[in-house]
Amino acid sequence: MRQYALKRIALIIPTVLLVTIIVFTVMRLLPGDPALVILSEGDASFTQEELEDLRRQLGTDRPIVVQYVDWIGGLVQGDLGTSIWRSGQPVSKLVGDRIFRTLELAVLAILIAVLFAVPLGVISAIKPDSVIDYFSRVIALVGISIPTFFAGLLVVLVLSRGFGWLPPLGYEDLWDNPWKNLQQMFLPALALGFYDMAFIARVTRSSMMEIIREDYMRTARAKGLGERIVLVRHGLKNAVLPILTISGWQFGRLFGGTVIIESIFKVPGIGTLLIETVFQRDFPTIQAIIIVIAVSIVIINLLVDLLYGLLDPRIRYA
Amino acid sequence: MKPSILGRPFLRTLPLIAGAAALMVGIACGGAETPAAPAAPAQPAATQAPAVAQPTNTPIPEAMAATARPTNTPAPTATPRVVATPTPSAGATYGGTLRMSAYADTKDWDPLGSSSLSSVISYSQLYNQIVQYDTVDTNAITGDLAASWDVSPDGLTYTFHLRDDMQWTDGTEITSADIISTHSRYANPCNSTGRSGLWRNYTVKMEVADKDGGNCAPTNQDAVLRAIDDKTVEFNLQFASGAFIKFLAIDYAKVLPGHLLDADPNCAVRDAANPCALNLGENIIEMGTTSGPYVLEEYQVGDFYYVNKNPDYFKDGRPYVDRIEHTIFTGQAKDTLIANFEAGRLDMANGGFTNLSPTQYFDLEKSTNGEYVAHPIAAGTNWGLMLNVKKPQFESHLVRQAINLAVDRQEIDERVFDNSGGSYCPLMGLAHANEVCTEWPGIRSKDSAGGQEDLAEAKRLMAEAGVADGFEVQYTVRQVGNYPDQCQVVKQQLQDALGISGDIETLPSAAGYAKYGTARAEGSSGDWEISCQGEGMVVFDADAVYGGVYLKGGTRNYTDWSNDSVVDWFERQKVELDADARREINKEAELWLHSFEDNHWVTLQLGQLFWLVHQDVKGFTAPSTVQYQFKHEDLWLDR
Repeated sequence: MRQYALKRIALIIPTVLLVTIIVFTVMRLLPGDPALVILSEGDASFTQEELEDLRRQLGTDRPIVVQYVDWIGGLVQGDLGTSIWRSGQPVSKLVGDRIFRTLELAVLAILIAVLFAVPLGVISAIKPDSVIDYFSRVIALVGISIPTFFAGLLVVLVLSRGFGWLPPLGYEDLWDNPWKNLQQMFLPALALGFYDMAFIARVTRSSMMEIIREDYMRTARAKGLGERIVLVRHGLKNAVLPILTISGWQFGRLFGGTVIIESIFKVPGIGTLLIETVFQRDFPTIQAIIIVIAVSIVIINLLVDLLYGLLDPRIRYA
Repeated sequence: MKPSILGRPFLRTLPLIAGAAALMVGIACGGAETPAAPAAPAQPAATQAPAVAQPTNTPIPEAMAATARPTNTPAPTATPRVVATPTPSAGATYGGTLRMSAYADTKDWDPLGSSSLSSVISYSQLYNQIVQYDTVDTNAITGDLAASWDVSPDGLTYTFHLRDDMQWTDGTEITSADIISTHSRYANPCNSTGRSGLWRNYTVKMEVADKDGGNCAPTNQDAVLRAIDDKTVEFNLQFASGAFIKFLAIDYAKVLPGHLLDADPNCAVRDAANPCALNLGENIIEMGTTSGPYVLEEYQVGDFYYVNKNPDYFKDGRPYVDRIEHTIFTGQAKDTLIANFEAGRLDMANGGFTNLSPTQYFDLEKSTNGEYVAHPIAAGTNWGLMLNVKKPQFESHLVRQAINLAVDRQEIDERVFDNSGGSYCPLMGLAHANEVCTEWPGIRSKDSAGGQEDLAEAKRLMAEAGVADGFEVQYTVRQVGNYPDQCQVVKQQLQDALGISGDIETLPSAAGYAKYGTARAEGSSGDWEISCQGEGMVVFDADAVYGGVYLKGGTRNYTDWSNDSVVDWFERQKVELDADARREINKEAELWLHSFEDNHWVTLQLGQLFWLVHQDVKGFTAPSTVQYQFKHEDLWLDR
């Protein structure tokens, strides 16, 4: 197990390195020049000379490899650089707490998704073609079909405007006021996790349907075990691996969804910051946000992989 | 035997799941509670009861009732104007937190060159002007830092006498030096005019050592403005004009701490690459030097900013509320904004511009049983179609003329503005009356015989320009208000009528401004081609329309389009004190602008805007334009 864990952890380094290269290169390939964006602010005219001067100041006139080495050098020392858009503010200050709010939102979304999806999928599997099964399948189909931003709008229109369930304005930190924080995060997390709930419910259903027909399930029942123990200890435990895999994958997708969901629900995470910085061509901030997200996803997937090892001894010893 | 789960022991786990789900629903429902109204300390401070800013419970007028009223620039008064120190409103209570919505993030925290409404609504609470618009008689000008002022008999010199008891929040006294430091920046020709420098069109022109060589040191500063003593400042005009003080009174013309401006080498001249430290909200918090009724406590880019009462504010008894929480609701969060108003989570929108349509304002009034009132602003926004004349598609004036003829303004008004348009005239009803303009080619209804002729003429002009089948064009639009909707309708109209087709690119507010600005660069045509934009009326005066749209450097003239005839009309009318004569000059200009012999701005309409305010918010009276009344020192909560 230890060797397995170490191997997986070691894989993080080349993965993150590859991400930095891709992110850095893609950002430079995008059309748009941060110097031009900065000089275009306000109503003043500017000359080509001023434009070139600013490029020199920002360092964007240097070869891309030099820029990359410079950036990665700072990164390994924990320096995320300074923002171009926010006049030299440290990127770490801009991204700071926001990233944790977004992470919280994503974690909450996946928790809600799993909490609703697993029971729905299990019941649907053991009562095929029942009313609950049809209901579950319809919900799953709807959830998979609608994009995240639309789910967000539906939540606002139905739950907030229809029923008056509305998160309090502003933002309370989870550690300062957990109850208010959860109130603020629940609806956005629900909207964000809707797709994943549907997807996980479908996976759970099909996974459970296969497992309940397995010989060992019949054996367990024949031994006189109670139905709950049969389903949870023997059924669900074996069905959970694909669910875990899907949840790990979905976590990455959730980060993409947070951008729009945060705008709709006024969650002060990285979403609004990312939108602005992309349009402002604030390379250092965009790169920092993407790297932090990428590292988070890599870590989550590592945890998922390690959980595999705990849940399935065959993986542990492979 | 088929395993049966329901009704079996497994069900025992369901309550746990149901409990968890109920907890979550509980969390959601918990959020539905209306937060307790902030306790207002019972400290009615009113000892005198002057004209009280009572809650305006104005019934909603017919949309057209607030049609733009042409006004004329009054001749300057040659008598001293003494301003009484404001006294607290009778019955006003102190305390509480006001919760406001903002329609977009702040672009600038430094008013220099600032021309975005989303910015002024944030920094206005932090600083003062020399003079301001009265919050009760919202067309009248009253003192802010100035206790009084007088105008010389020839109308060419304004002398402002400052109050004695004013200080910055860092304890430094507010003196004439602060005004000189701040307003010489606004007057400096090296700096863009923005809206903070619109008054400089009337004062003696500031000369600098060598503008082209980058030496922006003023050479005649004293001739423009000078400090007579620590508490007296003088501004010298080129000609007698009542418009000068109107522009000086708008919320953009803030006085900043001179000692900080002078200490920062980046502040004197606007430099986008090295902006003045005061252009960042975060720095303002750190420096802690403001003068206004509120102090910035926290700012989170794109999300919110919170301000707290300035306990040492120099106006006795002001402000009333302890705190204002501003939450930014962009277009994407429009439904969340409505839901928050419906749930009573917001007390008011900060300003007459939100991302709501007129109908949505009225619906909110109805759905909340009148708890919120949509206060109309007489002179809202000059909505227009902005053509990048530096691009080959719009180089020919024939194409621009064709577009002006083909656009169906009535349909746009109906589909986008809920028929709330005030005037379709290029000078917003300040020259010809709307009834006259609506008979003009291009403006008249497309359902009329004349309208059909206009469409035929537009096609002919396109053919004459060599683009009979139209062309491809890129629409660029900021994702705020109903700009995207406007562009959607216009795009369809131009496609149907002239074969001009294309995609619409939507951008966040600040990014959109930046993109428009790319067309200002010398030798560059910019990164955009056509856009739906608006120029919120600064003051309801023809000068503001010219200055915003038709003069080089205008806030919405991103291609720096210019025409000598227009400059001439502007110069002639701005010094004309006879109202009728001035109107005649403007009529001449308006006819020419509408002919599109050469123009870059297709006027769509003078749009109606509203301030949405809860009945519990007292001390509010709607201003007559969209660009002022954001200090909020007279607002109080009756709950």
